[in-house]
Amino acid sequence: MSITSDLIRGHTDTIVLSQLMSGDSYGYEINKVVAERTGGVFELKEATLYTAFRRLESAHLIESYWGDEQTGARRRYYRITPNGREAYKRLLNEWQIAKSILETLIHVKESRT
Amino acid sequence: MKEKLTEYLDRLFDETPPTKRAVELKEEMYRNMLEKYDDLLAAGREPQDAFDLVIASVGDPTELFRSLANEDQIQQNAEQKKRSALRTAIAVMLYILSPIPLITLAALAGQPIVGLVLLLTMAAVATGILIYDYMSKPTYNAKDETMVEEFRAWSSGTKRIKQTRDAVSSALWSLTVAIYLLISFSTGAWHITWIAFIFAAGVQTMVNLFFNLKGKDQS
Repeated sequence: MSITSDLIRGHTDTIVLSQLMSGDSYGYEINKVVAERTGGVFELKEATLYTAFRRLESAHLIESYWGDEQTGARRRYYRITPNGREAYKRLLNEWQIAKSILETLIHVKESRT
Repeated sequence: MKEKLTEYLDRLFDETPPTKRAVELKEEMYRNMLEKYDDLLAAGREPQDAFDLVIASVGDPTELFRSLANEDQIQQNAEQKKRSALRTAIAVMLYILSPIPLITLAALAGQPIVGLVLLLTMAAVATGILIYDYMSKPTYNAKDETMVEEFRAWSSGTKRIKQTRDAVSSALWSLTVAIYLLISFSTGAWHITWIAFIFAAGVQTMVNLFFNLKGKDQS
């Protein structure tokens, strides 16, 4: 599991951007969707998620604004910027190339065994 | 349980300076953790169990705090630089513009002395701005207790003091000349106004004394 986590954690930025492509969201909601989609197998650590938010925001790929909750602490929402959309497409493309390379490299061919 | 969560976050942010970013991050984390906690309760978890799960999902915050500290540092430096550039620009502009009153008043109104007074006053103000800018810059802070670091901090300190003292002196004397000329021409009391220079010498001595004491304090 730890190796899988490390592998996925390297793509936190892509995961966050892909979530924001379909609409504004906030930390817990993003993590909830990640957990739901993976059937509870994978969950981003909050520290990792917030670090990604800060990194993406300082690169102007996402921007944040505060919700107008009347009671208690406010939610901090994130919105993807046009730059962020482009970065997402690029990252997705990179991932697809990496995936096909990895697949050809790590599969053992039946005929040679 | 909300208190326990606040307590946990307070401890987590204990060593982080309470900058705007840090306070906002704390609020953001608090809100998200609270929602997760409520969801876990709704799913039938015991309160203690839910709390432990919420804390466990935070993970290792070392990297997060490091990026926070870096961002604050970068932002502070950028603002500092901007302010400093503005002050220096204004001071230089004053220096460049300072001959204008002298030239215009001498040519148009036949009042070269008033023009000269204005020139010197503008130069004094510009020097004052430069001194302020220099003094408000952050000093070199020794990060660890090595000899090299200590020496660097010490030499940066003494150099600053010397430069500040020189700047204050030059501003003091241009102001004195300006005041001397202004008072002398407006009152015509030339026989007594030279006292201004003796007074200025006294002030100069006090300035030197002040900086010497300050230098001793630091070493």
